Amino acid sequence: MNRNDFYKELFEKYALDEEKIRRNALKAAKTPAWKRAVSNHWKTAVGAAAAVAVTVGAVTYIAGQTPVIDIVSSETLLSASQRLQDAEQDYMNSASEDESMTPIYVSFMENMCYSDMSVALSAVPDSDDINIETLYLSDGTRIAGKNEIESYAETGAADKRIAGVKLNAPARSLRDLWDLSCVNIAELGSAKLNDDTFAPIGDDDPLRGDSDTAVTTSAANETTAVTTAFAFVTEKSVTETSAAITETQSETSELSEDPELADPDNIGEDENGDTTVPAETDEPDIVEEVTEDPEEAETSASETSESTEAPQTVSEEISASVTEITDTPDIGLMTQIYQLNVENSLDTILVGDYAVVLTRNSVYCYTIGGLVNPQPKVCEVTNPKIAHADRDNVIISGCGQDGLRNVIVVLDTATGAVYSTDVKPSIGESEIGTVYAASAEGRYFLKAVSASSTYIYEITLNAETGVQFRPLFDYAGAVSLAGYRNNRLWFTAADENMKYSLYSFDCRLGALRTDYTFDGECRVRRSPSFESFIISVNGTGESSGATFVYDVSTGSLCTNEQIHSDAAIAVKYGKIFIGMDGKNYILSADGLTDTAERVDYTGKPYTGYVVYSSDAEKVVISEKLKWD
Amino acid sequence: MGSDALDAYFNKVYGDTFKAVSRFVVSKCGSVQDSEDIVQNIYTRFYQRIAKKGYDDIDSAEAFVINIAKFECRNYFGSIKKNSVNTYFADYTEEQMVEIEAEMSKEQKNLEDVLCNELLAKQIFEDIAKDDPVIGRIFYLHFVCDMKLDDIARELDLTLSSVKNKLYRTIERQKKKFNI
Repeated sequence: MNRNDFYKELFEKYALDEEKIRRNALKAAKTPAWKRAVSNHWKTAVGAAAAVAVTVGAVTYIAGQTPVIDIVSSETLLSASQRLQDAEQDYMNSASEDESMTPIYVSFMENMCYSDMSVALSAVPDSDDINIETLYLSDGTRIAGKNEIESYAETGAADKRIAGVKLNAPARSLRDLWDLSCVNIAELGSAKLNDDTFAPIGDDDPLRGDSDTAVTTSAANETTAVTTAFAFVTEKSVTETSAAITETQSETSELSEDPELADPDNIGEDENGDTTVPAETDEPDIVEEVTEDPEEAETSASETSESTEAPQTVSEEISASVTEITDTPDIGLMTQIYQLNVENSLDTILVGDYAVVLTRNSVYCYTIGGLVNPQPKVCEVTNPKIAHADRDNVIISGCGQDGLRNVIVVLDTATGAVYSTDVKPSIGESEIGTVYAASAEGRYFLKAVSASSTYIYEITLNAETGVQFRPLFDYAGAVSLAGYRNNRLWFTAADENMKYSLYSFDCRLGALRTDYTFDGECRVRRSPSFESFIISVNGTGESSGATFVYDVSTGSLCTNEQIHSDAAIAVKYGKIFIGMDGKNYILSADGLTDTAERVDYTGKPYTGYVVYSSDAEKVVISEKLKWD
Repeated sequence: MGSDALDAYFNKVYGDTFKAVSRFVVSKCGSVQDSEDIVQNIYTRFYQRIAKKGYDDIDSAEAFVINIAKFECRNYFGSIKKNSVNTYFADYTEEQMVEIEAEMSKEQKNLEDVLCNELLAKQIFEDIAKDDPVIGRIFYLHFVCDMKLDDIARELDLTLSSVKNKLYRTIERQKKKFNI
């Protein structure tokens, strides 16, 4: 058997089992529709209900974005959970023989165009008896009346703007409507659910995956949590904002993270006790942590000024090549060495076996160590800048045609995919800052900045769908993201009185909590795992000069007078490692314990590439023993 | 209309159209695994239709089922590929691809044994199916539907080089991973 035959047989056997599909299709066709559909619809629709709760809140606080659903005020809006409970009863109780005409409100999974909607509705057995009464468009517009609807059908048949529709149809068609795969929820009209209170529930929010949790969340909780949180972050006036942001820049501009923080294997590794080893960009862990560098940390000021420049259209080609150097110098653990010759590069980083080189208009990707890459130029983007890099993804921001930094390019190092997304529809007039990754949980957070505010989004990376945004919160000033765990995101920010606080934001419920308030200016440094961080307090208050370690796994704020404000922190294997003065310590409730000469590794050793040295023309790359 | 006659008609149409419908769905939808659900939905919908209104008015069953398939696919994956431009890096050279193609046709002794080992065979299949969904689709269209790679590239809106690289990269990876 050859390999062609092997894969043919393999796929014939395991992909699309013809007999199984036939059996299941027949079984499903002969099973009453509501039995099939109810459990599936509940999962998706309840998730969507939670999404609506957040979305409605979101439009109140994300400035500069068009509200998706803003048809009714929150006072008159039925809670999504209540609507689902009512709809569930309707679904279960609607008799299959009930032919009485009744209003049915339909929310589509995604916005539809008129022609698609008509095709969909025609699939319902009672389609001849179904009349369209009102169209609900995604921008909040309502189109009611036969003539108006016909007029819209003629002019806007192809516009995908219909989020929902009110029908006058036989009551028994409720189930058939809900069975349509394009329908998210179908509801019978009632005294509570009428033309004034109906708002379509779409299915396009990332929270959909939290449906199980959402089921147990009461409607009251959903609404309260969201409203409270968003009211808090938007309570500052515009005039206060400008003052606050000017002041708080000093906080973020001092943000810096020591290379030694990145990984315990860097702490004290240097024979001389010098923690600024040459290999400071040697692996994704470190890059992830170093991304909040002083350049980025200048937040709105630097990024805004940069963004006002017209996009560079200089045509250029990089001259680069990877050569293996056989005459290797004695550089300790390093066993093999390559030289990447570069010209006109703005930045070069190493991720796994790849060297990513940025020029003014392009991104190049070279493979090191034997793999072939005949076409190193992977994409063109204006003024590219590394927003984040880890073992799985390199995220690069670039400028769009309007000169604003609103394009994201992702290099997926696992699959080799490169995809770009124009994020202007998601972030409006603000600009991409940096991306932070909670690696352990695979979550990414993007900071976007405008002249007056910082916007925090959770982003999902997917080569098929591009980068998708979910707005979390905004703040009228600079924000330093500090840590993430179990749906909670910690950050520090100063209020209008320059009082610094540590906040945490519940990404699931949209609730904001103030954890600690400090009487001085805070400087935050994260550990690479994003699960703990050091807060150093300056100023003249009582806590001035103190250094705190916040462990997000326990929610505890530890302090120890012995920890220097420039100490390094790394969390691995459930321990907090502190590196200072060339020595390593473990921080526990009993204080600092000297770990003697090396951190207690439990990971597996492997070899990876590191930048040994770099200058304007070449980057010398070496292999080095590292730890998992 | 008798249930037996209905089932017989359905089974005949199913047998006649399954290949065309599955090829259509796999080429249009997200992944091989999703495709199974979609194909099932298509035939469920088809059965419901003929049970309710009969099938005398259906001239071409294949065209009718494909029409249902178009609707199902549009609903399932209307949101795919917004704002996304895909390319790939670390591609094989032409010479390397020719080598891999030649190797594909060579007899391999242990491959039959691998297919007999259901656990391992399923593992190998799932390794592909759970990877980049496009790769599973390429495998299905190429090996099961016997489509040429350039036709697949057109169907999936990819370059031929990209299709080849995805296919060969996966095969090479599997050789090492499963020692096959």
